[in-house]
Amino acid sequence: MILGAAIFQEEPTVRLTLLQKWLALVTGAALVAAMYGALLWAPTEATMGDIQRIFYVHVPSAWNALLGFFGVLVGSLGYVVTKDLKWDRVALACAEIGSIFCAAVLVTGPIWAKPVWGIWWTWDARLTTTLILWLLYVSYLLLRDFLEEPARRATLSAVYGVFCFVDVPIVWYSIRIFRTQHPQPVLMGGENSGIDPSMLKVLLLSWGALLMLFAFLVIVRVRLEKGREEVRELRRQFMLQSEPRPAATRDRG
Amino acid sequence: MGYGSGSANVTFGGSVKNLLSIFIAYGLVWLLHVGYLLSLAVRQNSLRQEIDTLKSLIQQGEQTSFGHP
Repeated sequence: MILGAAIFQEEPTVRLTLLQKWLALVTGAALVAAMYGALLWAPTEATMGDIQRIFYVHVPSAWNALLGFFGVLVGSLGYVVTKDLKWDRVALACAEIGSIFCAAVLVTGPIWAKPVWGIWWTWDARLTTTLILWLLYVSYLLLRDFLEEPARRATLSAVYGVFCFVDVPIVWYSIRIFRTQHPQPVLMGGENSGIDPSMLKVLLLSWGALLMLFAFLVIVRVRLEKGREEVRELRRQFMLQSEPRPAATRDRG
Repeated sequence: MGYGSGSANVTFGGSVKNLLSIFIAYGLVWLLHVGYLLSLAVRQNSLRQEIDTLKSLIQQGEQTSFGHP
């Protein structure tokens, strides 16, 4: 609710409110606690050893990436239905931040894989569909850069944003449907899934901290885009003001 | 092989192995997020300056047009 209010508030400003400053502080503290939990407090996994600790940043980043891309879907559909640019701002923010989290997944995965699998990368279903997902949303962001007129950009981006989401369920179910090198799901994966309770606590702490970071970044990014619209409006006002007076008033007499 | 499945698969204590890999993984994730935050801060700062400049230019223009009807 606070996130919604912060995103959709109407006053035109790019400055952070007091509440958002507090969110930044709490997020910073939660991230430090999550790092402590992941690197020092969590037990060492018996088979893989300490390299498994990457899991505490890899998995929550993947969840946040999917959440971000779901946000793009919601924002895109919201714009298609209402034609209100605030939904387009949400879609843009979620695409950018989802792509950052997806990049974190693609970076940490191979670093974990090398000592465990003996290879950096393999073209299995989960890894390949995740890479495609990241490329889809990067292309979504590039597409936006090529379009100048706000309404046209929002419409085309909304259509493409809905199309990009097709890959999200494929990524989610890829390890459930196909035989993959990638590990099976740790949560919601059926009878054989699940982790040690102490590891689960740290995993949820890390996800909570990264969720707060996600929320903070979305708020800041949406407001930045709103500021850009304010600049466009001020430029338009300035251009109107700078235009020469109508000829009738100058040539009178 | 799972990421860490089952309560029997955990041990407590012992020296940290693959420390460099863990450091690089966490370092790169932090770098991504901090880099993105910094880019937002830079964009926000330049936007704020542009808004202030445009507002003062518009205000000057209004004063000039009131001064010379």
